[in-house]
Amino acid sequence: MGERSKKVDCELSSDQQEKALALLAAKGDGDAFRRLLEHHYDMMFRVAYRFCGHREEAEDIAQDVCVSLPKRLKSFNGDAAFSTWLYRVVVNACKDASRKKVTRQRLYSDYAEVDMLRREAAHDEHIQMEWLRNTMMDLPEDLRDVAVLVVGEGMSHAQAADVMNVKEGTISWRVSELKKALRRLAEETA
Amino acid sequence: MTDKLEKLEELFGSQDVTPRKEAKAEAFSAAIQAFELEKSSEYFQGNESGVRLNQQGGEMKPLSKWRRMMNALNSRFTYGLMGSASVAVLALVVVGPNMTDCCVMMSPANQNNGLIRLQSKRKRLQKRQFVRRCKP
Repeated sequence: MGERSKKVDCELSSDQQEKALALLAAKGDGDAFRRLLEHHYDMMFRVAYRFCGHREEAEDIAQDVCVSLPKRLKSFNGDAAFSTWLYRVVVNACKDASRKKVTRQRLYSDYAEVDMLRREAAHDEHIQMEWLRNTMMDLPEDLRDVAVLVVGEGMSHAQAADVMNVKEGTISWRVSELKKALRRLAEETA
Repeated sequence: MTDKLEKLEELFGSQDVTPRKEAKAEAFSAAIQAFELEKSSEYFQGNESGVRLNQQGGEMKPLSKWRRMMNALNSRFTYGLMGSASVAVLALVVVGPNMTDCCVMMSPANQNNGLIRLQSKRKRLQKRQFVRRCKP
């Protein structure tokens, strides 16, 4: 089976190669699965980190995605590029994690200790990065997706639209909304 | 307005987004474990994908008899049933039989009439036999 996934390397372009690897992994090829992880783990972590702003949390999200991947791969039918599909999975996982986090924060908001720890961490971090994190956290969820994909990952509007399963026009509109939101936030902080 | 977007882009660019090696290794081992678990659960289910996996591993484990029969029959049976039903409907449409006779024959009132007719016929027969016997 490993031989089959190596053969895939020689014969196909990178997009087709990934698709073929994903389909092989979905059929139970361990070698193909390992190679997919190696290719994409960094991207999973990067998107998660940019989305949530915490290293540990991003590691947790990336790990969750990796663990759920064997099951999810069965729903990959090869219609879109594998990386587009995986971006979608990661962005959804980030959204889920952020919703859970909001619930958790509501649960623990009474604990002054948590707040103190957070303040200490903020003090240690670089001010610019703190601004980035706060700005990202203040943005609505859909604008945060766009910020990560278009600004962070450098995707075109069309690519981001593919990942988020919306029209390209929606992404363009969200980018303009993002600009407005950033201006509003800047005014508020000033 | 665009300044902020540029600042965002710049900061995203300067952000250290390299994952820790330990976290990566941990995620890999957890994922591979999940992969093996998923694979084995499919193997034990004995479904179609289970067979595929066994074939990949070089060993064949046939499906249960019932499962094989269902696999073989399922599509044939369904398509056969659908085909014969559509042929029957088409035939009825083409021939266009007068169904009112059937309905009349099947109605309870008609069934009662038949019974009465049968009884009167029997009586007539009995009468005729009696007359024959009485004839010198």
